[in-house]
Amino acid sequence: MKYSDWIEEQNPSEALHRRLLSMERPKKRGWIGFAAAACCALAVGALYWSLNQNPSLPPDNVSLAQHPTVQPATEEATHKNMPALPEIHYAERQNEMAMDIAFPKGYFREELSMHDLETLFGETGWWEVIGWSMDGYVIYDGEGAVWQVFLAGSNGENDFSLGLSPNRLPPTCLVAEPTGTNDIWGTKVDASRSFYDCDGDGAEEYCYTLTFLREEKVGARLELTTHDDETAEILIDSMLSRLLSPERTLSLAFLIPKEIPAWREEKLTMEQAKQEPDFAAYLPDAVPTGMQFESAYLNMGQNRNTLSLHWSDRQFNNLSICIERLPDAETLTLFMADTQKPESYDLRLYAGLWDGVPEAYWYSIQDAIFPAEDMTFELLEARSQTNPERNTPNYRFQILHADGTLVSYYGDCAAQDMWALVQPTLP
Amino acid sequence: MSQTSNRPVDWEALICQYETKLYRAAFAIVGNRQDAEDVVQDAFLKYLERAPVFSCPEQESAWLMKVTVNRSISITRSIWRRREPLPPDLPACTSAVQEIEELYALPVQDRATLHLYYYEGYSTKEIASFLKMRPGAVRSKLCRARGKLKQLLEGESP
Repeated sequence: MKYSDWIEEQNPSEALHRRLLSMERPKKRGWIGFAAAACCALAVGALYWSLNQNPSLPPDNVSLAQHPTVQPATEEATHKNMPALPEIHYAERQNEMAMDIAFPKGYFREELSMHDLETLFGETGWWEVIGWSMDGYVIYDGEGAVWQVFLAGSNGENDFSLGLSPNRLPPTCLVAEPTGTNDIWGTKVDASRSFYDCDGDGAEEYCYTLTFLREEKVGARLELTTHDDETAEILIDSMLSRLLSPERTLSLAFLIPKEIPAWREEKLTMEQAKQEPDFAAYLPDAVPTGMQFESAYLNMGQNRNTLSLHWSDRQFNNLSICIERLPDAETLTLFMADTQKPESYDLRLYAGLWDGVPEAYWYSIQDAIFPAEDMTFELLEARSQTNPERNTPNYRFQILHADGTLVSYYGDCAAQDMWALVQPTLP
Repeated sequence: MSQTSNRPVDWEALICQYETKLYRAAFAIVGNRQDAEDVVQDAFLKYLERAPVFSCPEQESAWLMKVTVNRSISITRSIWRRREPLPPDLPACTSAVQEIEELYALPVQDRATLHLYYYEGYSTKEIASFLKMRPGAVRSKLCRARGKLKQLLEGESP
């Protein structure tokens, strides 16, 4: 019996179907809320006990600098006395939703300097005192306004990320589960945590999420993964006491880009795409019979210059070509197929994109890149897979040209049709 | 069934399109009918609560699948979870029973990974995004599972 046979024997009941059809948008939670509330009570109770047992956290009204377990500041790190953070109540996180972030049009990035971090937190180096590294960058939109600050740091196997956005919460999640709400010095802070293997390494971790919008001007999202809750809570205490301190204003207004790169983001017709000098030489004159042009999208900006095109037969078959003018082709070394070693690129040798693939060839089997001067019909044939439902082939491969242009192909069509797209572009 | 005023879309069409797909994903992870049905109900309830807006059907499908997978994983950790030794309606042959037992002895994230890869056809990169794992961890899980579940997975391709 195969896995698909087994799973296709499992079907929902008619009773479930009827219940789903009769569902209405709820006004308030039913039994799910009771379970969540019970989990919250359990988590809050556990945390209260933990905080009262934990010798590393300062008692009320004692600053971090005065607490005996905090290392004295070094000469480089000016460590100021911070007000003691009120107790934070966490909800048990039952679910998490992660969607891709769409950066704004014309976005570009600049690294944060130590001076930027000092301005942001009011002091520098406090994270090193408690054993953490930290660095980050800013994403600006095409007009030079701050879109989001990204900070990240680590302490051995523990790590965190902090997002800061002007006037809103950082758009990391589109959907958020109910979380424990706290009032910390007049700012509402939502906090949740869970204990599970969140990074898939076989060991369970403490995973914290805290969000707040301070005075409607700066939104923050702190995500933290640690192997012990004590380490997490020391970092949270230190971070929030600085970001929420009533003795200073939190602001991103000091961040000004050095320059705003030129950019274009446009949807093009095929005729317009053929007028683009960076890409015209790699566009097909004709596509497989039945394929209709769907879209062409140009995206040019800091370190990116790409034209993506898509065709389909309006049924099951698709064709995509993506043309990139790369700033640095050296980064592609990992994906380059060795044309002398079929095991590095020939999909027909394996049952799937990973099945039985030696680790050394994982990347080249997934996304094989061939130098344009070495590309042949036989290499193209080696990049075929068969769609099991329709018993039709599809092809996936990339070609790196001498001028640093990378052209990626994905197509549900015959090998000869794919070759007709590729051959005219070769030297 | 006519669309009521507080439901965002053609509700009956949505249910018919996704309920079996989501049920099978949930069942693959939680291993029993009752919990799987609870997960599916939770997923559609969340859809009603959040009323998300999607730019294409693929995004809607991925959203529902993520809710289902994450909820399934959460429910296996709940102290209120019903415990059943094995799924009911096991196949007749002994070797298949053994492999089903092996399947449900795998860690819950491994079962989720297997189902998303072999049955749903998601890539390792997409699965890594679903489960908040590194793509390398996804590949490792698939490799280990393949070693344990030879007959069940032999010949299966995404």
